Amino acid sequence: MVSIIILTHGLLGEELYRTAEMIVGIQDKVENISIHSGLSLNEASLQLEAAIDKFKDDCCIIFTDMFGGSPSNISMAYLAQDSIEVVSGVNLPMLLKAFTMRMNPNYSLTEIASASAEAGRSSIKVAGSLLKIRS
Amino acid sequence: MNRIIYRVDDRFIHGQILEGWVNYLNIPNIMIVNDVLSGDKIRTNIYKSVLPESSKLSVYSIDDFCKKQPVSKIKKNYVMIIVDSVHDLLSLKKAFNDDIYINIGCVVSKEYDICVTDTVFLRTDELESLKELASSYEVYVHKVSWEKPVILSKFIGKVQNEHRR
Repeated sequence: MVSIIILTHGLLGEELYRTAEMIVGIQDKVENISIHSGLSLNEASLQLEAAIDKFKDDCCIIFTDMFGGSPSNISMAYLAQDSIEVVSGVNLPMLLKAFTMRMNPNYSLTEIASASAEAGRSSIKVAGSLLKIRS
Repeated sequence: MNRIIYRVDDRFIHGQILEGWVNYLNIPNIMIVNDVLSGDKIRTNIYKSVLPESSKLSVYSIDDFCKKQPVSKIKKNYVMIIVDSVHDLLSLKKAFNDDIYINIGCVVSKEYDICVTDTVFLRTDELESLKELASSYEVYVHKVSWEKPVILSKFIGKVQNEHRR
């Protein structure tokens, strides 16, 4: 099963993870890392390294909150490894897609990462405009 | 605020820099001065990839920056020079001129004596060095550009008062 690391600023990732589990149930092979304002980049990198090491026998997707932010930047340093993919802009639909899709062992790391990113993107709606179109 | 912004930020380029400075002020020239990063192509490419297309990143070692003086070649628009420590900021002193703005943004040293703000933690020797620098230049603690900058001398007074208690 593809492992998942959620690496975000503050408690965003922890709460997303907790909320996703409310919907799709308890998950194995997930690590959450929270970068708080007082945490140095080096300490955050060490925590990420430990999480990646824990999942060294699996493929792994690292979900980060903001492209260009520190969580994303330190994760991208691992992209030289074929077994790791980084997807930024994590939101709840994105995480739910990854959690459900990885249960099927036929899907590859790239397929899960791409579908998760698409689920995250397509869930963003300006709901008012949508209603106006339908009325 | 002066055009040439020196920023101490041990995360180099990250959310605060992108949203709070580069995008908000349309800063076209970003320079990182750091001896480790100047030899690290992967991290340099990561930082280049996250900047908007309108912004150019150059990375220099301290010696290279002092020798080439690249800031002097940019006559208009904002320039942001990022270093990761107070020590490195002081190494660039010979490149300073009257048009600079010194900004202590994010310093999360592992060992520190003084918590200045939630993102600025300094050792006593770093604060002393900044105090000396503040006698010639205006040194501010300034997280993002739309926030009101706080001149560092205000924190120095506050820290000294706390130590006296």
